[in-house]
Amino acid sequence: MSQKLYKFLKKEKFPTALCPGCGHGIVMGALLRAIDGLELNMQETVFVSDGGCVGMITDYLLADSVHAPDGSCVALAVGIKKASPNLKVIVLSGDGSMGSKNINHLVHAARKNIEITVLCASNKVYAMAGGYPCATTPMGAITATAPLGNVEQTLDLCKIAYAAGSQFVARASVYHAKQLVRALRLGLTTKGFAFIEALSICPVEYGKRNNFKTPTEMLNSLRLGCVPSDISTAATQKGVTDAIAIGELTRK
Amino acid sequence: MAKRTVEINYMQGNQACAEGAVQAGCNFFAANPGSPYNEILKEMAKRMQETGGIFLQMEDETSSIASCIGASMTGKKVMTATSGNGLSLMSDNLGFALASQTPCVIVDVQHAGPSMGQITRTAQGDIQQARWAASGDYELIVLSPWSAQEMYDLTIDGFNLSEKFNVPVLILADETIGHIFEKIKFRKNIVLVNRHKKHLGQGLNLSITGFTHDGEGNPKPIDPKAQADLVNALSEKISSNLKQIIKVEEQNTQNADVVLVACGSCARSAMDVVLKSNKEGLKTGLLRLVTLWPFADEEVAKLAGKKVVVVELNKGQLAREVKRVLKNKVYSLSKTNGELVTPSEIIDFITCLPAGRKEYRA
Repeated sequence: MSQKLYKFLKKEKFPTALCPGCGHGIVMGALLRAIDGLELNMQETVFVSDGGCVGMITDYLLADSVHAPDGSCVALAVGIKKASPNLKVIVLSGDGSMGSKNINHLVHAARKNIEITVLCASNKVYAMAGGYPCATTPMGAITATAPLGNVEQTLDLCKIAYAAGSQFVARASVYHAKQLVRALRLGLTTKGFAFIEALSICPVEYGKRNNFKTPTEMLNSLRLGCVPSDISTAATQKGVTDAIAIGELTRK
Repeated sequence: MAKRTVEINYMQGNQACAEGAVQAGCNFFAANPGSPYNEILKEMAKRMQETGGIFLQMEDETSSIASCIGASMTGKKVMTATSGNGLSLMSDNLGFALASQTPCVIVDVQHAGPSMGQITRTAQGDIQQARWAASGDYELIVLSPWSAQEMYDLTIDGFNLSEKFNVPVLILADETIGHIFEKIKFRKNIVLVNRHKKHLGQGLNLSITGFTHDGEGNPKPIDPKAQADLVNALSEKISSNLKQIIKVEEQNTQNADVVLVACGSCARSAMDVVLKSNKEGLKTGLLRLVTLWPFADEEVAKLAGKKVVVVELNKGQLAREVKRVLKNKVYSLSKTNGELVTPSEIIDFITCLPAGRKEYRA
């Protein structure tokens, strides 16, 4: 991690507990770069996370953090923001909980337009639990409880947030790290609810089951699979339906 | 701050609870509407606006208590209200509040259950659930009001206990008490316990977690000592302060042959029996549990050698605890049809002892 970001970190706790090759380190770096660029006061920022690998990131940040039980981080952040509007509230969650336990709260926080920034790191599986399929797992992907391939449809979290009335919705990947920083910067300055999905990689629980030999191969798949696009029109563009569209979905 | 100036009011139990909360300094309320606690929401929506507090109507009970915990972590005094299966939904985050030692007050106006049951009918079926709602080992405080006046008083006391011991406090009312209209006398000089715990936004880089943690909040996922220390601390902060927490009311227990043990609305019927039957020569007494949990072991143990009848609107949940404490025979008058137990039913039961009336035996 860049030395200029050390001021945001509890360096004595390093190295992180994240697995080698995990994409969440890039997510964490992007978040800190966005905060650094905006010169946010970390003493007035609260990070709320819940179970899962992304939740561990908050342990290393030199700021107030709350590690809520699975499926409560968005609702807890709503309470913090409503009670203390002067605090900047950032939710860090994985797609496992955001696509299932948290989704009700995500929809309603977006509908109520609570000024919080939700950063969802999507690695396509319940990684910490041991590689189980979640709402965002692609069809056909092999997981711990889907040895013949996942048969369920994939949930588009960005579209859910958009439909619920989120003021800013964007998707970026850990390969497109600069875009991720930009998306986070825009999200953090949004006057209202902001949702950012960061496509991440899990070489250990997802990659090894799906023929990705190295983390680099997974990053490469993000490079090839992501189509920079306006997500709202992506579905109608030729050839984009199978790919993952990255970019801004909405900015109000 | 808009204050009520009239000293004596005519209010419903639920309204009295809301008024007690406001007077206890509650400045954040989040809940999901439902029966039979709706009036708390209505009153709080109005009173929070008047006093500059925050009122949130949330999408479900999980988010209601989660947002309350979040607000409490920034130093607010928070309350939420629920009933029946709503408490089941809250139990996940109740555990989080217990583990993170976050003060909050939860009002449970019990209705007949299980599940949705009969939402407008009275019951006391959540007595054991209130104690054991969350997973794991812990102690928490549960108070049981028996009148609209006590809905007001115990809500204030609940806030104070919650702040003092950094523990969630449950106000376990039943439908009868929630909906009863009575005369309420407001307290004149309310002594409030204010937040002494550090909170978010003070620049302290706090780490608050539901995982087992050390004193600084650092997660300790596999440390055996940290786990034992946390569980012991959570239990001992309550169990070593029982004298400050436990409150019971006794009526004629010394001279009585038969002592009724009850809480909430049942205690009203039991009190009627005690006051009337003593004139008729039947020596009865009443031990009313104001604090349900931690259980008043010491006070109940004093009833040794007497005939003890536990009157309750469930299948013997309170009797189970009384039997644990007392060696002698404990009779359980249990009524579970969603109606209040009447004084005549209690007298019938007593006069049929030792067998007790068959239909009321648990």
